[in-house]
Amino acid sequence: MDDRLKALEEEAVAALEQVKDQAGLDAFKSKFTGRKGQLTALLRQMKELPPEERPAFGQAANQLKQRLLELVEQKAKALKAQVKAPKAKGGVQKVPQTPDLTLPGRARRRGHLHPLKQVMEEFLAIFVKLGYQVVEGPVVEDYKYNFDLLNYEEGHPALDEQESFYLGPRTLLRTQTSAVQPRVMLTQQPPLRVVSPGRVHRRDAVDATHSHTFHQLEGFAIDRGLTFGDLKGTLLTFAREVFGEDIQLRFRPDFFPFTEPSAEGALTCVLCRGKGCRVCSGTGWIEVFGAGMIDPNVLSACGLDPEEWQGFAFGFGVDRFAMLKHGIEDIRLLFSGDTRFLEQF
Amino acid sequence: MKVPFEWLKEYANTELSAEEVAAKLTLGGLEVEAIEEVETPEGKLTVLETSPTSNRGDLLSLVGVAREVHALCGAEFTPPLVQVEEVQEPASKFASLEVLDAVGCPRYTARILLEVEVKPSPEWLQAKLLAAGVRPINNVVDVTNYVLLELGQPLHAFDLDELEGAKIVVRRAQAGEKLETLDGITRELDEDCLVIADANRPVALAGIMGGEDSGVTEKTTRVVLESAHFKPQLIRATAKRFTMSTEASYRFERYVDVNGTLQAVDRACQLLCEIAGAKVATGALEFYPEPVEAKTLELRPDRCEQLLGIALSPQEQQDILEALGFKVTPGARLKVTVPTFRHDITREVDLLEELVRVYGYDKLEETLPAIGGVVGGESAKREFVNQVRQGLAAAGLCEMQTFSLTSPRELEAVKAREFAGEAVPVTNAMSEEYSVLRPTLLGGLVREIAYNLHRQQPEAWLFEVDRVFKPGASGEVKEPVYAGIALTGGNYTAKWNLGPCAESDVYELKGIIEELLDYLQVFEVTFEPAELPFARPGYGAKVKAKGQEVGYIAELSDEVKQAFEVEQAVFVAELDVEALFEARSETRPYKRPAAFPKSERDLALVAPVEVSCAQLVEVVKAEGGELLEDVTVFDVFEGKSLGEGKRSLAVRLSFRHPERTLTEEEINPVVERIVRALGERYQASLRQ
Repeated sequence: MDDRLKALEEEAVAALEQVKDQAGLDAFKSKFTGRKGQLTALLRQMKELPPEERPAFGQAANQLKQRLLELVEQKAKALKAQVKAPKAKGGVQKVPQTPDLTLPGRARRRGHLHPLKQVMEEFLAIFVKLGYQVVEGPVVEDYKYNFDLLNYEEGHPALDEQESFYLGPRTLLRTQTSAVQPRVMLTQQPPLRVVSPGRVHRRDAVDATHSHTFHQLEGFAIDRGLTFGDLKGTLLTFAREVFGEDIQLRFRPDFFPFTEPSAEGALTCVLCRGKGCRVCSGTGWIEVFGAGMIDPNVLSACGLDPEEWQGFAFGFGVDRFAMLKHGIEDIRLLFSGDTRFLEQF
Repeated sequence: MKVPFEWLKEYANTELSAEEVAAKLTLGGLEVEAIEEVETPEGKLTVLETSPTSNRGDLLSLVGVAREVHALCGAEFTPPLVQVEEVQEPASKFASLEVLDAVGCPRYTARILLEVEVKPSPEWLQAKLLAAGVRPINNVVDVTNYVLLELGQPLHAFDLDELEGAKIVVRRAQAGEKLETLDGITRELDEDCLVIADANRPVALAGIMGGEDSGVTEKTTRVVLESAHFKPQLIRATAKRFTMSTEASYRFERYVDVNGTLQAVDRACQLLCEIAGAKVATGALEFYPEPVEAKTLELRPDRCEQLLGIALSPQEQQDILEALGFKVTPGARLKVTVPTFRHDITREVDLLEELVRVYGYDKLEETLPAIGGVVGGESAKREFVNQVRQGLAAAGLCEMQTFSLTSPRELEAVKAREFAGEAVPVTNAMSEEYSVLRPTLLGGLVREIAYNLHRQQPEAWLFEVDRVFKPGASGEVKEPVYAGIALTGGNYTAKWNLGPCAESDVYELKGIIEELLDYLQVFEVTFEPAELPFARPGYGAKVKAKGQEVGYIAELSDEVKQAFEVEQAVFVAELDVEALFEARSETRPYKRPAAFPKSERDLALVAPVEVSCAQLVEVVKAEGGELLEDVTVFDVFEGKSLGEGKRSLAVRLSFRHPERTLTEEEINPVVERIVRALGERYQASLRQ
């Protein structure tokens, strides 16, 4: 037999022994027995041989091909058997001999995103669709942005609801995401549509319904000719996008130093759909939004002419929405790492 | 405020039910939180529990509420008619008034009542007070409370014969002066406190509470009735300081009409003549050097539609404002005179709010603003932060969130100071537990891992992506976003036949981080072994991207685990998301999948254990040159058969040429070169 065939046979047999998996076997096939393999290449060279040697060479080459194909088949069977019963370290079979597909599935657990952050991102996405840009402000805030520029008067009882944690005489943990309003107004020119999510802090003890830390979503728009009706329409659009077309929005007067007129926005109770239940204290409404037309004092303080620019602003607590959505009864769960809680979302 | 419904109807005789009125008031801006029935000597009375906003001091009176009922429900407004019969003797004959702080007390009015017979009030008066939640005491005190509720003006009755020198002096307290107030508490005062004094001593904490020994008793016959106006901020500061909140201070803080003092004191005199046989001295003691006049504002009628989106005619606007007690002169611009009890109305926009409030927020039509040249969206950085969260969730972790406020003790337990620096303290913390801002997420991670382990949950894969707080160079506080990760136990849905492979270890954590960073397009990532203060020795590494430190991975040390009462292994990592954002690549490199087969060679390298995998691989790559496509580790073995201090690392080398199939002759010399270099550099040899 031709030396070249012999060498190829030796090489092939040795290489096949090294093959450990299907991928290796595929590579082997393409290297030796495939259309572009070495054996085919040798057969092509047959025409260079003297005519009398050709038949013998051809026969030998075909025998070799036959042999290699048999070896490949054996190897393939061996590999299959190996896949069937691989042995884990320690000798326990990962897959039992007798198939039983009623055994529990065995996968990596999926991960979970936090329910509050899910809700927050869902809300932001709606406002982004309405043309709002997402802007975040600092948690450690200057009194100026948290109160002064928002038209809070020193010593006004409105400050009672905003008991703050201080880091210094004029530095505090922001009590409301509204602090982002003046920050944006002082650095960007209208028209503006901004939403701002984030943590806020108030000096409040922690229990099932209170927390010194919670989350707000603030939104505001400044443009020529924006009206109170636009504010109401924006919030209604948002609420229906989240909770469905049957949701109603009830507006009633309220007071915030940085809006005038100011409104409290209540939504049809999302649990009882307005019939009255424990969550809405039987009223059929849940109070959600603080809102209003941006006070001219705020616009002026931020360098915007209130005769030219009009705007509206709104804000609401997001933790409560997450709790309502899932029926979570204790706000402290939102700040815990209890996997029994987190894995439900 | 408790508003007895029948009493309210004396000033606004509506035909609507209490429920209907409550609904109108609530939608008009005066929230009625509840409607209650209260038992009184005159039978059951209906009471509206109102909750006025902090800018509407005028709604802290029945007459004020009645005015709203008039404007919102159309009932006729009938405030009380006040008439006082005086005796011939002038008030100034009995007492003198001196105000030394006109800023703190812009107005002080007092009447002198003689021949007062102090006794219990008649039942009708007691019933009204009880319905309003006020305990009847005696007719004099009851009348002051009655007028407080009716008109919103706090009054105080002094026993004239207890005032030394028959003097009333309004002044700042002197440091060290003491006053026992009616609640029986003696407080030490100073210059920040405004007091009412007699010739020698303070007799009342102005606007908050009277003194114990100058009040009206059964023996009292001559009464000084105070009706004053105090600066809201001053009253608020003092009340807060002494943690006192009284019916009087609550109202003064929210502004009481400076022009209402005389009417209020007269109303009280009128009632005391009726029910206590009092004689009223002629005239009042009065200090009011700078009378406040009603302001007139201009209202452009078309602003209503421009700002609110509702079309009200000038006449409709005038009608609403007049119903609320404003005086209106029609014209192209309405001239609106604001009564001084509406301290909250100072601008045109405030009038517009009154219009829409009475018109009805519920009638306001919802519109959507036109998109005017604005584009919505998120910053690239915020999207990146969300990618970090999604990447970690995709790796099978549970997202949690913990408080930014934490305790120094917990930070100490994870050695935070040694790797994350000082924590920024809150100056007025409520407890040690929440007294500093976290400079690292590690404390919360370990705490919550322990929380799970202590509740029979031996598997917890947690992460949190949120801000930490670091003091900046110039006193500011930086708030970078970090990603914190903690693993304990495995995370298979079922573990049968998996053996120890089902549990997490530090290499699994490393793999998670590597996959995450690749997802985030942060390339050229290295892990450099480092001693971390909270890590088990040898089980900590700094994570670097393009040579810049971006975080760490570690297994917790026994010391830290003990501090949290944890026994099983816990693996933690923290990444500076801002640094990752800076290190990320905008694009992901793409390579066409190879057309030619690869050739693999397996090498079992035996080298001293001090030689790291990274060191060996680095040599392999350097010597492998362009033909070497990949190096993977497929076995690590340590055992006596290798000799002391040795380790075997089995690696698979993949060789490939982009344009042809490689031959043995091309690969063999490269492998030999690699083996030789490994031997020279690290005394590595092929395992026999």
